[in-house]
Amino acid sequence: MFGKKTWIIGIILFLLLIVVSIFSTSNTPEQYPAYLVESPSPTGLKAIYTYLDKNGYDVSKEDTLPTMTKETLRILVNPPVFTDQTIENHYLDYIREGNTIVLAKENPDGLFNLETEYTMTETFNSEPQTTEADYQGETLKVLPNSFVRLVTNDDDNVLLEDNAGAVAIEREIGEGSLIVLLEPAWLTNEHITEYDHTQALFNLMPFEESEKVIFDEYSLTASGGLVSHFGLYPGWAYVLLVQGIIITIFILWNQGKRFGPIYPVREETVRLSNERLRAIAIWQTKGKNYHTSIEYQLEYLKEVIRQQYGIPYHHSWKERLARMEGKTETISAKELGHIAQGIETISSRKSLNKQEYLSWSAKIDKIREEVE
Amino acid sequence: MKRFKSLWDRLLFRDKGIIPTYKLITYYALFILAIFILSFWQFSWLFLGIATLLMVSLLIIDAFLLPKEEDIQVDRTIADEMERYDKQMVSIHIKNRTNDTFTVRLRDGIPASFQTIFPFNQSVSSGKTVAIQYEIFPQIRGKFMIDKLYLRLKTKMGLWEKQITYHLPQEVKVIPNLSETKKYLESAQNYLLHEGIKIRKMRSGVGEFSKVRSYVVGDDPRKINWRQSAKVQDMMTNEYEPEHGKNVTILLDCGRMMGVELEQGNRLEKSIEAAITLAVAALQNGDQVSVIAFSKDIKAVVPGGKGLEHLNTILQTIYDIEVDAQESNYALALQYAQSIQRKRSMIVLFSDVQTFANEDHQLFYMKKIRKKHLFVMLGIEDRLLQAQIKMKPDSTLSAMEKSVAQKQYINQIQVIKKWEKHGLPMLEAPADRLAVTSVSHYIETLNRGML
Repeated sequence: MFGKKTWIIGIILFLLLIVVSIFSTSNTPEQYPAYLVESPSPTGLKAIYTYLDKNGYDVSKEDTLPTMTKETLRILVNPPVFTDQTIENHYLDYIREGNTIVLAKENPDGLFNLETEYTMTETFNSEPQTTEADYQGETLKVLPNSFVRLVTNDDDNVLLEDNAGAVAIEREIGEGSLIVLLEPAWLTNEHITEYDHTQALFNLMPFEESEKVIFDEYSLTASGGLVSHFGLYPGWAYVLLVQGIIITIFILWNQGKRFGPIYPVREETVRLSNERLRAIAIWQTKGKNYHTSIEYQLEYLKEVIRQQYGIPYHHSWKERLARMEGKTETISAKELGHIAQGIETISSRKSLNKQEYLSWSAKIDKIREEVE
Repeated sequence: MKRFKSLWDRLLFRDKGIIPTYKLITYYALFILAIFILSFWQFSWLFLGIATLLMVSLLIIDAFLLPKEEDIQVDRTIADEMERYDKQMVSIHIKNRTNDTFTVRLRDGIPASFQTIFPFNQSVSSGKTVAIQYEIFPQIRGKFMIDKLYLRLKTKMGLWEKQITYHLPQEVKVIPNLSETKKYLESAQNYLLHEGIKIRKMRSGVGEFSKVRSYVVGDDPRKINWRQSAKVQDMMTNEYEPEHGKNVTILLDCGRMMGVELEQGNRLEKSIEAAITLAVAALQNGDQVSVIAFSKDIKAVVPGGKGLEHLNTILQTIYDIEVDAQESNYALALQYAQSIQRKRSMIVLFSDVQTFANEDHQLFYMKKIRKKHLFVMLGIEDRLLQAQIKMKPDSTLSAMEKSVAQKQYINQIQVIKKWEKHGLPMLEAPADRLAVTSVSHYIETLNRGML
């Protein structure tokens, strides 16, 4: 049924499919998003999680919104700014119930009514610079990454600060409290053991006082952080996208194929007989040669009158128009006299202005129409 | 690589290929609608992928039912020679060697000046030959090469169309319109009716002897043939007619100003038609006609010849001359005419009066020519100039244009008068009366025995 060619194309396509599938499933390392509890990568949180778990703390991870319990410590590492106000309110209610939330985010501006300000740190160094941070009189050596510092209220308890400002604060909300840390990087597998990060974290977070320690991944998954590109929009949108592409290809294919020969445009070769005349007229207009133009018109009028009534050229305009009296319908004898007078005057003058030119052109044309 | 390139060409650019039809697009749109509605309840990528693949492969089945290029045989019948403004039929014979019936539409590679509407949705049944006809209306004279014929075939289902291109090279000549000439040949007197000129056979005392016929009342008694009357015992009279074997030289200007558009065609078009009618009139009268077409250089030359067969030579030589974007060299043309025409002849120049009159030094040549030849210039009246003279000025520029047009007209009249004083008539006629004017001028010249 199919020719040899079809078979060859089919086999090539099949081989291509195999090659593509081999490449797409090869042994590349698994990709983890940052700040995931299971992640053993440098950006993950597996180290601290495992440590807490091994040392008898009641740790767990949750990817749902918190239920209203008491005395729990919930750690939110680098959550996105919630676009949905109800989620934020839910977290706030959760704190008011008597729980503690640790929010670790480089710039938490806009979350939980927090405000930050930019600091001028020596940022242009390629070498990471450590700073001395102050924790209740104790000096810790840490590596700051954040370019912002927290704006504190009078009620806030500043937990950690350096020369630039507050790095971590505690804020009482209802019966619980909110602890904000500007350095989520200190929690990661890569940085947790560097400098005094471990000590700083254990100072800041009240692991001892809490019954349960929960790593919150709801904000990372449900609110868009971990959602794949194929689940972002409702199904019908993808149907429209995919099918739209296919039908567009069909339509372009249908429209794009040429049927019949290519014709050059004919207008390129068309010319009119008044090209020369127009050119002269434009040139005359630019030169404001109104007087010459009126002379041309009078000359023509003379010729027309000669053809029609046989009045010879050598007659003056007064005689000529006087002899036309009674033969015209729309122009009275008196008017003809006026016009004759006017023609004599403008003929003797050297130049004319535009208004005079136009009005005389109209008058001459009126006589011409009458004669013809 | 080569295979890929040919596939690419086939799909997109070259003359052959497969194209989805509107029907397919409509079906696919319906399919999309169904999937779209379904996706509100149920959406999965797997389902979407499988459904799409299934639908596309279902639609593609029809593409495999299309015929191969070898299965369809095509032939074109077109006249080799046709007249301008003369409708002609072209027939395309399509032979279907397959066992299926196809619907076909076609586009032929005819020039754009052959105005036509191509037939579409013609059915070609299995194993049969179908003749599809379409009418062409050639607008432009010349030699044209018609090569490609484009076919688009679809099956009864009609989801895909296959475009096949056939090479059927054919040369077509579009010769000037001969309707004026035919009218003249049918009845010369009727043709010249409005001009009021009688094609007289005789002017007393001049012309050459033609025949002896019976005397009728009113004939000149001086022309009674006494010898013949005695012989047949009846009054016979001699009949004379203008001399034959005169020379007529037609000059056709193909310069810049002859390209000016008229209501139908351009000035050159009308001039050629008039020239051919004049040539026919002269040939029929037994005169020798030579034709020279020129612009900056001499473009085409037909040496003098006699008899109506000579018309074909003239037609074949001048049918494809075109307007050049150059000023005409009148001096060269006139010199050339003199060099090929040693005997006294009537030189008829078809040109534009404006251009011709604007060159003063022509008069010098013309005076020399006039000693030996009879010269007349024929031009086409400029309707646009007349319209511009009469228009109502509503701005400075239009008033200026009007005055310049009037000046030009006056100038033209003066120049024509000056030339006529020297015995060099210049005639201007409306485009549709040019042929009549030229022929009547010729006959008048003959009648008056001026040649």
